[in-house]
Amino acid sequence: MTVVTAFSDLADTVGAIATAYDGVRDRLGGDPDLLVLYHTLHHSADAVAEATARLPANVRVHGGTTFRGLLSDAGVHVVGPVIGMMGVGTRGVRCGTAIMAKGDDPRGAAVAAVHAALADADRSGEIPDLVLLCGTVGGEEECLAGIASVLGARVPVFGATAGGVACDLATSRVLVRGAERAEAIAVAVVFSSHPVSRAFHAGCVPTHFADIANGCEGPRVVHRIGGAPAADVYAKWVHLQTGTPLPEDATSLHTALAPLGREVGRIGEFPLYALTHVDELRADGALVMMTDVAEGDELRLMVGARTTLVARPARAVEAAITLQCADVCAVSGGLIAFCAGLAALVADDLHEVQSSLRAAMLDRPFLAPFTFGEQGNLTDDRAVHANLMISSLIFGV
Amino acid sequence: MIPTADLEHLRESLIELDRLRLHEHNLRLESEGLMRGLRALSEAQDTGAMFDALADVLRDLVPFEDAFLLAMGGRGGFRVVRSTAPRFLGLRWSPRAVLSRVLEGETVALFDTRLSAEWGELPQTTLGAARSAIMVPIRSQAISAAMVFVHATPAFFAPAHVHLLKRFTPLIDQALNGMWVRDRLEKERLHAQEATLARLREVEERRKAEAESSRVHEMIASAIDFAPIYLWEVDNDFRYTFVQGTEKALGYAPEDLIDRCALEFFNLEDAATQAYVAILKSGQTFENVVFRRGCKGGSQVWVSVSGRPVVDETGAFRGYRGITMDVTETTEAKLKLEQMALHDALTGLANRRKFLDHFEPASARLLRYGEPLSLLAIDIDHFKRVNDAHGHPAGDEVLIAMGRILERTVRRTDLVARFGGEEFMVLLPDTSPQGASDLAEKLRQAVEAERFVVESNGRKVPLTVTISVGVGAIAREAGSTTSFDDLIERADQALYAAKLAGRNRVSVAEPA
Repeated sequence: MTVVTAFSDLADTVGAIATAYDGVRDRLGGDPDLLVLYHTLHHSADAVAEATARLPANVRVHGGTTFRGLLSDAGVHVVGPVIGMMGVGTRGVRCGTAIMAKGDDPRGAAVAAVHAALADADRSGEIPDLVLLCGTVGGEEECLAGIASVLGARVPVFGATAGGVACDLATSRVLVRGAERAEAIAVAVVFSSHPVSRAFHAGCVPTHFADIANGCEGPRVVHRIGGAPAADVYAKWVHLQTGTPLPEDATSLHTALAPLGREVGRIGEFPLYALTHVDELRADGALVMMTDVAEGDELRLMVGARTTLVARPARAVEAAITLQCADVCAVSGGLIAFCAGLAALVADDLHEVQSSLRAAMLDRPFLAPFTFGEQGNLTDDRAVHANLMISSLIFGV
Repeated sequence: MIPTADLEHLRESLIELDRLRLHEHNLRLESEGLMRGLRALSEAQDTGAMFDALADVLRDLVPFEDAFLLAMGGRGGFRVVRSTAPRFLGLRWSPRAVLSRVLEGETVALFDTRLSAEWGELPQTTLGAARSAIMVPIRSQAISAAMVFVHATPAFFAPAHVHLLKRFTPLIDQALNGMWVRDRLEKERLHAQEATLARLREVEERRKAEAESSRVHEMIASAIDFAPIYLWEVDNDFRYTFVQGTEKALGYAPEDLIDRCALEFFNLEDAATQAYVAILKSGQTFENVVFRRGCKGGSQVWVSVSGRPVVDETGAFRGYRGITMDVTETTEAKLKLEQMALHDALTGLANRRKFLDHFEPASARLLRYGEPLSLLAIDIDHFKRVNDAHGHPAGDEVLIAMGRILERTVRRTDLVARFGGEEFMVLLPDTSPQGASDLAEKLRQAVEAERFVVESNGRKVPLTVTISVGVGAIAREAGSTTSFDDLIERADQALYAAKLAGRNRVSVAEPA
């Protein structure tokens, strides 16, 4: 398997995509089987659709929008319009892609998208080696459930919720060749004879502050924790844990280092937590989450250190490489879903993040969009949706 | 208080450590499975045993419900040749998109077989419960096949199962290749063993053949020693190239004959020899050709020769090879018997049978060419008196003398015969009645002029002997179809007339 990356900061979408694609094609020596494409919101959906439609018909395109920019082996791309591409190709790879509007049924959309992507790969009924999921904000858990209902719970998923404008989650969009949509999911299925490895990294440590969620409103609003107003409980936990009270107008940036965790499995003696970013502390005492929280879930305050964030993506990459590839030279490239919340926290140190990532990747090509949610398999069991995490995908040679 | 960053590092490190432990544990389980599989595969003696052993090992690693082995089943199709469940046995499968990919080396995992058109074509009564499947290629030098693992639950298998089975694939291929090499070596060993046995058999047969040949040669040599035969071979110029037994049969040593032309030793004026030489020159196979040939020292022997031509690989004539037997004794005995059968024992003249044998062709020539035919009937006058006066031996002497007179007087083409007693007949081919009458007269005179002397009572007694002759003749102009008996009768009547007329005379019968 061969992986290459290319970029463009041109404002003209058609020109930017054509330029970046030329770079991919030149480095790959031909058309890729799969083109992963992330771009900033500077590029409109229509323009991206038009530009990708011009790509060769045999090229499958998968991706979406990214928050502010992205990282790559070539550098930090956070200024102005950005198009980032990763081409995957040569022998031994077969792909199919699909895009579906979520509507009121994200699960059904995911089921349909998986079947459509398999049909696009001419592999209906077959288990892919990997599923790439790129959804817009909301309903990620249902999408994962839909995928699991078709392919089984243990199918490897690399998921990245498309980034957008922080204050307007509906701005995120996903794309395939010739189409880009909001409120939708894009699915790519990959059949590869080459090894792929993944790691889903939380980073934070659990505290002893934990209680049961109740009084849930919809999937992502929690009114009470342990019977008390959820926002009050959360603010109190943060204050007690960090010694610093949350500001009255706390935003998601303030809560990024204090997520709530739900145990989703164990490695040995260690519980593994999927992190939930608190998006809003409402005046009515409710907490608005960026993942689903069900009545009865135990929520635990997790804390992270700003100082560890810089190296966290690299550690996620190293974990994936260590697990899969005894010989790191067997890595051909990587895709990293880098939580946009974390990226915002280390905005001033992104060059350092990129540098550590490049070192971890041994200068192999990589692409790291800033995402509004990450999906992956914390253990060998089902894939989960979480926030403030690093999901890494390493392609072997 | 420990800083959060340090705690995070510590926790992450511990998690990573446990993750690696788990990974190592899984790898160890996998490796143990591979080792068990390797042992089972290395112990398997055939594909069926390999499948059974592998199914046992893999069931602990990949929790399939059933498995079966698809192998080439003729006409490009595949069929289930081994299975953990009898219901799959015999299932036929024409490779299309999916199985073809497997046969080309790809492992294919299906989360729902009902979504595969190819699986949908198969008998659902058999496959209905198989919703999840993993199809693993088996590609060795010996066979192209697939192992299929199934489970009734859709989306049952995980990519990790597929990955594990993929790791087994090279082991299976290796085991099959080992099996193939083992089979080939075994076949080669058997082949070598058979070849050795065949060589031993060949040597034994050759030894037997040589012994048989030697025995035959000894028998031939013995036969040649004991029997009057010899073997010979001549080239296409009839020069002897091989002889055996000629020294005893002909007096010629091999060196007397080798490289000399066989025809030199033949009397080419002899009719039978000429016939034999003609056969030789024709290049035909011949058997028991009898003729006379010379021996060393000038004596003659009768030989019976059989031979067949020798040809080279192109079919060209290269000479003869044959056997010759000395048949002098039997031939001469035969000739003597013939002599006795056709001649009068006392006088050596032809008897009635030989006379009749000669009459037939003369009669035919009369009819065909108009050659006249005459016959003389001769009787010794008063022969009884000779017997009575001097005894039968004296009479026999007269008869013998009479035969000599007649034979020396007639022509070479005429035939003198004694019909019994003192009665003689002379057949005169191509002779008119007049000519016959003249010859009869000549005979009468010759007898009359002869001085007969016989032994009587111990002394020599001169006798005067005369004969009476009756002449009978037939000619074609008469349109006669006179038979031998008619002609005899006619001559006898003329003889009778001569006797009546006073004997010692010739009487000619009237033409018929």
